[in-house]
Amino acid sequence: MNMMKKIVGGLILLGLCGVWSASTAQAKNALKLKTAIIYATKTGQMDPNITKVTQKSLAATFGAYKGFEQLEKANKKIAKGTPATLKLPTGQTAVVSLIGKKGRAYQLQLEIPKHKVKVKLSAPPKKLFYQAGIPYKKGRLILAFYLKE
Amino acid sequence: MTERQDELLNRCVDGLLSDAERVEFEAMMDANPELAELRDGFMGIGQVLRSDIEQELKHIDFTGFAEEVSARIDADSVVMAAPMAMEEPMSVEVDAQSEGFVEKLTSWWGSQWKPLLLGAAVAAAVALVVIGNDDASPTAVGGSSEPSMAAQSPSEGDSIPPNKSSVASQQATAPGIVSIDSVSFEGPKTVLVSLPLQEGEGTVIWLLDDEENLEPVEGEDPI
Repeated sequence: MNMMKKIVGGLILLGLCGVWSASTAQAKNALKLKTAIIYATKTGQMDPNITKVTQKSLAATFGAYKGFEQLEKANKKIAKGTPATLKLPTGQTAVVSLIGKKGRAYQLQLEIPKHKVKVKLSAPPKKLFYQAGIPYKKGRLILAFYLKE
Repeated sequence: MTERQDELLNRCVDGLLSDAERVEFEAMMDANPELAELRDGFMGIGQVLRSDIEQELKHIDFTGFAEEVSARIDADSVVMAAPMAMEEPMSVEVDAQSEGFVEKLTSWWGSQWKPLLLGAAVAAAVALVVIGNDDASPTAVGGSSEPSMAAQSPSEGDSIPPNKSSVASQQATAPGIVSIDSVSFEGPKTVLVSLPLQEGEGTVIWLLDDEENLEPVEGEDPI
């Protein structure tokens, strides 16, 4: 009877360890992906809705453009097998998938299916990066990404 | 056999069943004939042991046994009284408590160490698997650490294998920046990667596949 109790106790402990490990792993793998769709023009002004940090970064990175209008902003979650999708005002879609992790950086794939473009990149958390160039109205679209653990 | 059946069986063999317990146990035996057989077996063994002990005791003379035991206890208590009086009661209590706890702990560990170690080993194995999965990711393509701009303009229908494109081979792998591992695309287009040269800038993946739109915006001089 006592041996039976020990075995059952051991199995319960094992189950709890499994649940704990799985939930920890899931929580560990889920990342926040902040996204913004910005319309950039060579004339115009900086949209005050854009955060100060992003305003500075846009001005420094896209020196040829003066006008930046934030069309959409979203907080998404990304995990292995659960990509984040952005619907662009042009009717296109951008898909960001998590491939894995190497060191501090997360390996992502950015895909714009209509253009048949796939870019694999390594992004450390808390670093702004952009996809730019899709023509929109009289300017270009800038997709801003910011990964957070 | 359930725990309750086990408990009642033991109490029955020891002759300690209350009336209510006896009714309960009999109901159990009616429902479970194996329990009744078990009870009969235990009772039989008990009877054999008791009759054997009684047989043995017939040949022993207990005359004056109680007096002799009392005299021995009195003598021992006189010898023990002196050292006991010299010790502080508090210290005696503390010693007794700590010894009891250690004994309990040792006894508990002695009976439980196998499942605990098994659980700990499995937890460690699961943790290793989880950590291992995190690192199980494709190898990044390395290259020069010089920040640069790279462009590809293949002819229609061309496709650049992800890990062989010149874009990938020219990317920076410096820590702390977003770097490009590989680029693949189809059709006539230009993919341009701009890496940050100074603080505040960000990595940009330019996609330029519409030459018409590279024209200056209306009202702007090209040069």
